[in-house]
Amino acid sequence: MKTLYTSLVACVFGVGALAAMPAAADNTSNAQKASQKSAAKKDSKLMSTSKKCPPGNLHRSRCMIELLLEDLTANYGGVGGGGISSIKAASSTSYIVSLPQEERIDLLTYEFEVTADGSVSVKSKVASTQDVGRPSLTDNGVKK
Amino acid sequence: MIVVSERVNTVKKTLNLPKFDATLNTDVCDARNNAELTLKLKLGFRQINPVGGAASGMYNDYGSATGTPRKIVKWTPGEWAAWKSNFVRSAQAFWHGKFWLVNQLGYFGYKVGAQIYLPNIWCRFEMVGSEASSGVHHHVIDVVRLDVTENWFGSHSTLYDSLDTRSVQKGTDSAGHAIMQRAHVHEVGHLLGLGHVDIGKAHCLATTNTNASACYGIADQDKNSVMGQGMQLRPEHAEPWMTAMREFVKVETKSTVYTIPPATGLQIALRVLDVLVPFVPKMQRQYPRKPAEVEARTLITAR
Ligand SMILES: [Zn+2]
Repeated sequence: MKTLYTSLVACVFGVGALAAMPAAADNTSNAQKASQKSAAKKDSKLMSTSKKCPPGNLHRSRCMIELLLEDLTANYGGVGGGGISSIKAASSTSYIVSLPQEERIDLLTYEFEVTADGSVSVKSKVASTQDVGRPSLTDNGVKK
Repeated sequence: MIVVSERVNTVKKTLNLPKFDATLNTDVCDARNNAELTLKLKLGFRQINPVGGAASGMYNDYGSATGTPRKIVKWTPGEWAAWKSNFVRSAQAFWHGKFWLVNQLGYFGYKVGAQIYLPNIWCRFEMVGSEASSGVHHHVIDVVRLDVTENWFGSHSTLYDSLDTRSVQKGTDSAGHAIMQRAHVHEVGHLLGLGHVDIGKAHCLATTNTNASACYGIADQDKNSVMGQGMQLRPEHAEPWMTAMREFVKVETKSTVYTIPPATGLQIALRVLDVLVPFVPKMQRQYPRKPAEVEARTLITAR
C-alpha cells in the first residue's frame, strides 16, 4: 500500500522527489531513526541505578524486580493497555515482563548483573512482541 | 436539468472482492459530481456471554487460554442493539467520504451537452452490521460486554469489547500530550486491508511482527495516524479504494468519449507513473475535469 505507492514514486522520480509527495514523505528525524534501531534490539534508555541487596535469593530477585519496575515506570511508553500481566523469571538473572496491549503483548526481557558483594544492576533490556489470539491482517491483507 | 448525453457503458457495477464489495456508480456524474465508489463491509456480530447462562463470569484477554481473565456480564437485548448500532454508525462515519481519487488517465469520460468531463472518484464507505448467525459476512466479530469494574480488555481485529468504541489514550507525543484513539476505527482499517503506520520502515519491516509497538509510530505524525495510535486519516489510507479501482479498470469497457493522447517530452516520465498509479488519493474535494485539465495535470478543487 503506502510502501507500493512510495516505491512506485521512487522508481519513476528517484528519491529526490519523495519530499514533494505527502504520502511518501518520511518525517522521521535522524535522532528518531537512531532510537528506532535500538528499540528493536537493546534499549539504551535504562535506569542506571543498582541496588545493594541482602544475601539470599529472595532479596536478590526482589531487587531485580524493583529495578525493572523503576525502569518500566521511567521508560515504558505503552499507555492505555492492560498493565502488567506477568513478571516471570527466564533464568536466575533475567526476568520477562508481559504488558498486554490491544492486538499484542509487549514483552521486555531484563538481564541483570549480580556481583559478589550482592549489588544488582540492569545489564540489558530487550523489547519484543507476542502475537495474540486470532490472526490479524498484514498490510498485504494476508493473514499471518 | 443537466443532460449527460454519453457515459461509460456500465453505469453501476459491483465487484465482490475478497475483503469487501465495491460498487462503482458513474450514473451520478455531471459537471460537478464525480463517480462514486462505495466499499461495503459486511460484519456479523456475535455475543460472548458468561458460560451457562450466568449473569456474570470471566473471559480471558484475546480469547486466549493464557490471557488475563476479565469480568464480563451477559448482554441484554437493548445494550447489544445499542452497541452494534453505535459501532456501525461511528465506524462508517469515520471512513466514509474522506478521500477523492484523482483520475490521472482520464478514464470513464462522459459529455454534459458538448463538453467532455473526466470524473474523479469519490470514496464512500458503507458498513453493514448484522447478527453473525444470519447472512454472509466478510468477518465475524465476537464481542464481550465488560463488567463496570473493568476498564480494559485485550482485543484484536475480530474480538472486541464493549468499551472499544470509546476514545482512550493509546500513546503520548513528544510534547507529552495524550494521543487518543477509538479502537474500532483502527480495527476497521485492518479489516479494509490497511496495516500499521510504520510498516516498511527499518524498525518495522514487513517481514517481521508488524504488531510490534514500534509499528504504531515513533515520530509524532505517525503516532497520530489512525493506523498508529491516533485518529488522523492520511491519503494513503485510501488504498482499499485504489485497490478496487485497479480491479474496475481491468473489467470496465473503455469509454468511447475520451482517450488521453500519448505523452510527449517531459510528460513521458509522469505518464509512466500515472500508468502505475492511475488514481492518486487526495483528502480535498476534486471536481470532474475537462480533457485539457487532465492533460495539464491541473487539480480542480473549486468550480
Ligand atoms: Zn492494529
